[in-house]
Amino acid sequence: MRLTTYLILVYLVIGLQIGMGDFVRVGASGARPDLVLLAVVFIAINAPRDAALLGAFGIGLVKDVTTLAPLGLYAIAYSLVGLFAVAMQDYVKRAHPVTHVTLGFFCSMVAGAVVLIHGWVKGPTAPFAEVFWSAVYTALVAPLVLGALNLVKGAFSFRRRHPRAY
Amino acid sequence: MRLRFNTVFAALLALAFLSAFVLPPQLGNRLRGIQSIFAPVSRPTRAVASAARNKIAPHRHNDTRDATDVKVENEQLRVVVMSLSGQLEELRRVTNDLDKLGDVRQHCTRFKVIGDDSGTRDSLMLAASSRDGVREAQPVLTGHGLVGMIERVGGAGAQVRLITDRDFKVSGRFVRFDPKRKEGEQTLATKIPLVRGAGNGLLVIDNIELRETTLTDDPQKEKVAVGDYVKLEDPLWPPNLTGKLLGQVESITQQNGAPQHALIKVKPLLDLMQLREVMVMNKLELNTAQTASDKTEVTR
Repeated sequence: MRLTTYLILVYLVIGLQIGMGDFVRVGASGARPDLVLLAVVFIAINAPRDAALLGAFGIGLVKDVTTLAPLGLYAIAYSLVGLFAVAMQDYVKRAHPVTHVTLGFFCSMVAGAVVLIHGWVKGPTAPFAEVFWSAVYTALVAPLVLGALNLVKGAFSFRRRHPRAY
Repeated sequence: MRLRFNTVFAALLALAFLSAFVLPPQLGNRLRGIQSIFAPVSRPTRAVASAARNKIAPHRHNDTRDATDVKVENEQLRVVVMSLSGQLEELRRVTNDLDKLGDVRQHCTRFKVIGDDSGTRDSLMLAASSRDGVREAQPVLTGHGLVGMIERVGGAGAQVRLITDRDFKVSGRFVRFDPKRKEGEQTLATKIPLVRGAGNGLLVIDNIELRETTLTDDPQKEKVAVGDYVKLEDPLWPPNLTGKLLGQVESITQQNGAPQHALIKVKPLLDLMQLREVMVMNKLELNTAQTASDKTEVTR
């Protein structure tokens, strides 16, 4: 995976998220889509395993800089999302909208679960409704975002994965 | 090679886990003052998103009063403002302490908002840095009241914990706007309301008994009603911020777990997450700044 393109993606997606975050809130629960998570999903379903996991961890760490949550929370959450999506690589059609919706929802729930658990352990508690409806919202916008990212997939130079050597 | 990567990745996850779940959250703050680098993307995005939002779903007021009533009230308010301005001038001349406090504006610097929280919390990112004199625990205001306090600041950005964030606590008082009174407002005699951020742009108060609200029909005293205002009244905050508006009571319901107590939802007059500019009180004297800092420790 090309590092420069990855860094540009991280920069753009975090900038977009913090710029439009509150203006795209909907409903009483205050749900909003997680564009950063969709970037993680895009990297994780396309890049080789090691690059994908490091990429997911890195995006989480950058997101930690731009939220009140303690440093490391989104790094863990997105690493788990990365592990989940990497495991799905061989079983899904990567460019299919249904894959995008499904992965968008389940990956959002994985990341949301980490945020919820952190809330229960360390406080303040995050509302489940917000996490759930944000996951639904993220899943709905996933085909658009991942579809757009697929158009520039070539710029990332994702290499074909090799079978494990052990 | 594979084993080595797995070990490194596991070590990274363990470090992240320690930082997020075990170590104090302030420990990572020094690494996090770089929010401003996202401003070239986030600021135009915010402007476009704000314009689009205003066009698609413009902010609606829930004020259903007749226009004539509003005009009459405006006239009364003008009289009240003139009266208060006169009183203020007199008090400034007479009271040295008030002279020292002066107007809050002279303690503040205006900063642009470059974005809001990318996670699920209520915070704003400012194009401000430690070089601008911004420090942790400094209060953040707008013309409509208190916005929050500086949570962390670095060489390239500052983050504000909004009053609506789920980790924000402060004490206040209920007031009712009353143009017939000389002071223009009436403080309601209730228990001190402990105001907590509830996330999603709301504050909640859950320590007020039902009999102190309009949910009961005990006619003995003035009760908290929808539309009343909540103002800051907290000895741990700088004294010249006392009376700053926190929000307006939006709803009063019975608490599920404690039927004798009310759950009062309070909404700031503005959507704090959509602010474009804020005032940071970064020209405080040392003792007042320390007071605000102590407050942060208490709320944590």
